[in-house]
Amino acid sequence: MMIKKIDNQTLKREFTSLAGLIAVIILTAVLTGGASLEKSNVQTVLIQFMVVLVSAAGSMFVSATGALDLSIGGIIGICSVIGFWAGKGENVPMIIGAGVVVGIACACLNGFLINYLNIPGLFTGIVIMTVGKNVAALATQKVQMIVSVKVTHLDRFEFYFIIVVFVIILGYIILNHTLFGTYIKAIGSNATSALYSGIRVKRYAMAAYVITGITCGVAAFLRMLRLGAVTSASGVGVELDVILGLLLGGMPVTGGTSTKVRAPIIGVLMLYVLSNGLILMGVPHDMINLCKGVIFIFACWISMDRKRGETLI
Amino acid sequence: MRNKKTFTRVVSILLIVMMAAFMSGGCGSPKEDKADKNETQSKSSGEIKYKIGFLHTSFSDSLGENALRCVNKAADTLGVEVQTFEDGGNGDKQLSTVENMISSGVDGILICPASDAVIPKIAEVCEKNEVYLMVCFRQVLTEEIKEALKGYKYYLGNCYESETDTAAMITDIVAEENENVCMFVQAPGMVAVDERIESFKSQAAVDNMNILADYTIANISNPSEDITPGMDMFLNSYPEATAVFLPGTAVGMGEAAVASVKSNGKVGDVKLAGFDSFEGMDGAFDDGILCALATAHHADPFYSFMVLYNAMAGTPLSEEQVELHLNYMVLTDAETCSELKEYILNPEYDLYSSDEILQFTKAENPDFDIDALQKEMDQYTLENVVERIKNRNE
Repeated sequence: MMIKKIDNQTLKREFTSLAGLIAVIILTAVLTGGASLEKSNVQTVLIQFMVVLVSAAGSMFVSATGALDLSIGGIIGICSVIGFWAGKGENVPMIIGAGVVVGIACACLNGFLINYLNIPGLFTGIVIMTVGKNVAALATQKVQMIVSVKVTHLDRFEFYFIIVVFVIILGYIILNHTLFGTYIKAIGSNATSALYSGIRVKRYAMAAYVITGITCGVAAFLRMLRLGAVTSASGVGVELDVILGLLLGGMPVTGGTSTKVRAPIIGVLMLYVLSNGLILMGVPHDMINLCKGVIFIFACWISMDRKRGETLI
Repeated sequence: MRNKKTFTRVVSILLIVMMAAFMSGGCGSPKEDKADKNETQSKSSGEIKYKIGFLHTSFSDSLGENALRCVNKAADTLGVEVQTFEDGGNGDKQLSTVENMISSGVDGILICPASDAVIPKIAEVCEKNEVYLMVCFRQVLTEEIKEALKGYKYYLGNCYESETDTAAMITDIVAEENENVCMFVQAPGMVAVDERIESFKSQAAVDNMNILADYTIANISNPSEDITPGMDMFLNSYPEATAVFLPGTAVGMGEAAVASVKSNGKVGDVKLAGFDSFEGMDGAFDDGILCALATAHHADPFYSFMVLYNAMAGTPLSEEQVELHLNYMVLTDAETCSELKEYILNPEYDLYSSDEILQFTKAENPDFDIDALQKEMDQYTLENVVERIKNRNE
């Protein structure tokens, strides 16, 4: 009886965020006269979505512990610059490899400051975000970091798709079928209980940041590939898209056992379908920002059970 | 109870989406047949023949607002719908927005690119979708990129201002009465701003001016926030400084700098000099706070738009890619600033009337070409524009 009840609740959660996504898709299709469903547009939105999804999938692990990672954009900026230099803009394995190593290093630093020096994640995130922006800006000051055609030939839907499928499957396995996944969800549910249960909370929380670092390295490469360059604004604003995407997808603000891989998929897709749809409908830029702001507040409201301090969806 | 809560949440999501949709003010099919549009070249009749996307850092500051006003006037006259987007100088956002705008059926893109590096990819996307692309406010400086762009048929070219020469001119003006200066530098990456900074530094050396200190504007998305602490540092730590150079005064930077001079009680002791335009600049000249300002380049997108329009209409002004150049108007006193505000930045007066705008199109004026446009742009001075507006209103 208990098992049946849990299943019903799971279905409800899935239904709510999924219903939102379907509603967005249908409404934008209707209001754009079907233009949003044209093949070329669908492909455009999916590529935009996939590039952000990789970062969101990594960030999901930190969010599962109940933390909020604001450093993603900054880390992506640093990974982009170092990856480009290491691979001279043309060696794909070097670009990805260096990006991932740098991503892990930055994320470790962030995780260490938060978990071992007890500095609030909000501050460390803002610092890394600022540093990352400036690293990218300084690096692109004198040299235009333009990616070689040896790399840009990978700028195809299929390539993004393969990378994203790999990241999502790996994320799913780690989150749902490993002790690590179980532990970080336990930390998010109740860190004190997790600690008394023998879970090394700091170590596992730190490992969640490492996963974010890895995905930031990969995401930096995908963004570089898509734009064909590293710019002074590489990575800027990614953290907001990721956080908003996770919330829209039903990711609990407090993390915990409700964390599901579908959250970043549904949420980020909803965000990008909506952004695309608003432009297709000819909504003025100031109204787009207003819409996103309102949606952000509603997403927080929807994902938070104010009585228990955790989410229902 | 739980079902009711879930239902409430589903309804909430649906309401948000509906609200977002209805805020657009209606619906319609964005895709139209380009061939049909080329058939008619009638004068403005309220009929929308083309649609363009206009991407700029901001449309809410003086520069963006006036640039959009000029473009909108031309667009209204020629039957063009303008869809705007504030990209905050973010290349990733620019690319995504260009893609989305192309899906919405635009015929052309007018863009102030975040950097040279983003132009090839945006040009590639436009080329693939047969959408014309014109760059405003920027000069492509990287040879590799210039070469890469040559192959694109739908990339029409760029329009730029002489940042280096104008910054040198501003420096000379500052050097006339000041020996010790401080300057703001911006987190690098925006080519035009980098050029202004480098030029100020090198010309200051030529003019034997001492740059006592600099302060980096690191907040790219909201640079005005860095102005107040920077000004406080200059005014309190370097009392011998008598001038401050600002590479940009847009997006609230000019207002913040003027407010700092006032709040630190340095009116008359410290002069400001810089680029762009801001609210209260005439008052700042009046109070003796501002000594030089390179401004009025908001007309750049208008001229760029005319290149774009003619190409969309099937009557390009040039068969080759163009590189247009617009002069800044350099203000040094309150009188000229008031004149600029009264005639050029005043929404009541258009830079060009509808009849004049029609003369910028090959359909109405078959002799008009890119050289004629450049010639017109060379005459873009305060005196000429004011005289033309006065004549028109007599």
